[in-house]
Amino acid sequence: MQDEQSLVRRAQGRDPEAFAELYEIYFDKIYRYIALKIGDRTEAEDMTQQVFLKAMKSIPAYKSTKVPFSAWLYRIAHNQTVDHFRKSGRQKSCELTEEITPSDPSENPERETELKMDIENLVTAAKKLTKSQREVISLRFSSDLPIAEVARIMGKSEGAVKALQHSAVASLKKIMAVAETNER
Amino acid sequence: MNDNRKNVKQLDDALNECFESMVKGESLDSCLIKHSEFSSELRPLLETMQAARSAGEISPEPAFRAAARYEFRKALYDDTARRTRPALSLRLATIAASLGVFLMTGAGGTLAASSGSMPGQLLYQVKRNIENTQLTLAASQSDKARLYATLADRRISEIVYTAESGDVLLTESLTRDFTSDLAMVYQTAAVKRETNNSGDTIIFASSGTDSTKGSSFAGTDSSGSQFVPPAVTTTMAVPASAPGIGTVTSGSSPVTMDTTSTATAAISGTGTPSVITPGSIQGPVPLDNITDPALLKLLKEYSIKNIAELTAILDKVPSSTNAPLMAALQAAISAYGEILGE
Repeated sequence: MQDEQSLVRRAQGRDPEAFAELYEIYFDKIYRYIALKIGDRTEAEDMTQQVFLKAMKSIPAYKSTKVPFSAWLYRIAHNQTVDHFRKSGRQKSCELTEEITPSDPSENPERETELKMDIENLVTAAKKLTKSQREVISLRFSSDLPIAEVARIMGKSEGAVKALQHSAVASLKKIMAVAETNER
Repeated sequence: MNDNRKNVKQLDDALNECFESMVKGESLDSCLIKHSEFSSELRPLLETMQAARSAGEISPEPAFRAAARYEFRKALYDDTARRTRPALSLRLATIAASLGVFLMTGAGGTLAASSGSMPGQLLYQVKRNIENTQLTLAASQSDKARLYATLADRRISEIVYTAESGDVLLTESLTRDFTSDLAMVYQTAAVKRETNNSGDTIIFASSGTDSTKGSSFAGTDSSGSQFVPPAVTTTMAVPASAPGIGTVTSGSSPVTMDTTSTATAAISGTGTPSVITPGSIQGPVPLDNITDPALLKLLKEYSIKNIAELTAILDKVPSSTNAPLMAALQAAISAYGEILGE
């Protein structure tokens, strides 16, 4: 596989094969990111395709000196989900507050419910996170993006993203535990 | 910063560090040992992250993936054609003259529109004519080989389309075209270097017969689903003196060449000597190799992509095109395997 910068340069020069390769590299990652954010796998498929069509049209304007290609692509995907939420008007239907307390250090881990998670309950749980928490979870778990890149995409400091990640995972853990208890 | 905030920040950092290490393969317990002061807080959080990450490893439906890939590639080629139209118009007179079918007015739009057309569609023949013209206009053998490789790749996209549409005849015909294009890549680019008894270097550039849509290639069988690189069996008697013109039988067409100081050369196969120095060589010559690294890389990329594209739709096509699609897949595996020496 060619290095990404070279592929991006060729794609900017309108080499369809280069862009096709970038598409192959990122399609599943962007799909996972969108699916986790919007919680609808079928809709995520169509939206993912839209992201790449938009990227194809805008790639001449992309400047590699400003942001990595992946960050640029995720930004397009992010905007796509914002549009989706704006159109559907259901973004804040079940959000928790932004300030969720991280896990209590005094909590006894022995008492924690063993986690059994599949994509459905992950998506259900993620819907209950705040917008920013969900963004972090989607970016980190969809393609293991480094924290620095997540920070760039979100326009936050690395420290702020780490704090968000911590609160998001703590919330996720609580939501999952409650869900499992209710199922019993 | 008070102690509590400092503590929380350290925990944020430890959580992140552990997660990144685990993504790279480190075990949870090993991470916890490094951050033993936060062990009890980190464990449940990291377990949650592990579970969420595993749960998040989802992929789109294969059928959607294949259809999306096809649509995107079509959009890419349409977009490229649209944006390169001004450049295209500079060559339009040549192209139109070669094709002999278009009025100058509006031809650019027709050409651009044809680039994404599929077999059975109105502009498909225009697209194929343009391809032939591009081959004719290729500036070098290297460009021509790359173009043949690209055309073979394009045929696979079309096979996906026709197989999904249930068109048996077109799928079979395109498979023949695919193997023919790949054979031409080989014929155009393969090079064989041999040292003869006198220590002179003989370079064979297998560029003899340009079968641009017409001539047959030895590697394509009657069904068109099998690719066999041409076996070059050479028997050559090359006197050290008597400069002259040598005749080489390459495929079905005789090719005349200037051998500088060579009297005769008879090659059964497809290798056309481009440089021959005095001396002689007898006996079988092994199969040629493609040596252009850029072309090899391109072919490797196409082989992975094409085989994946065909495999992705295996259980998605109508039953009528099951067999032709399988034949196309076998042809792709075989042809790329042979040409890449795998």
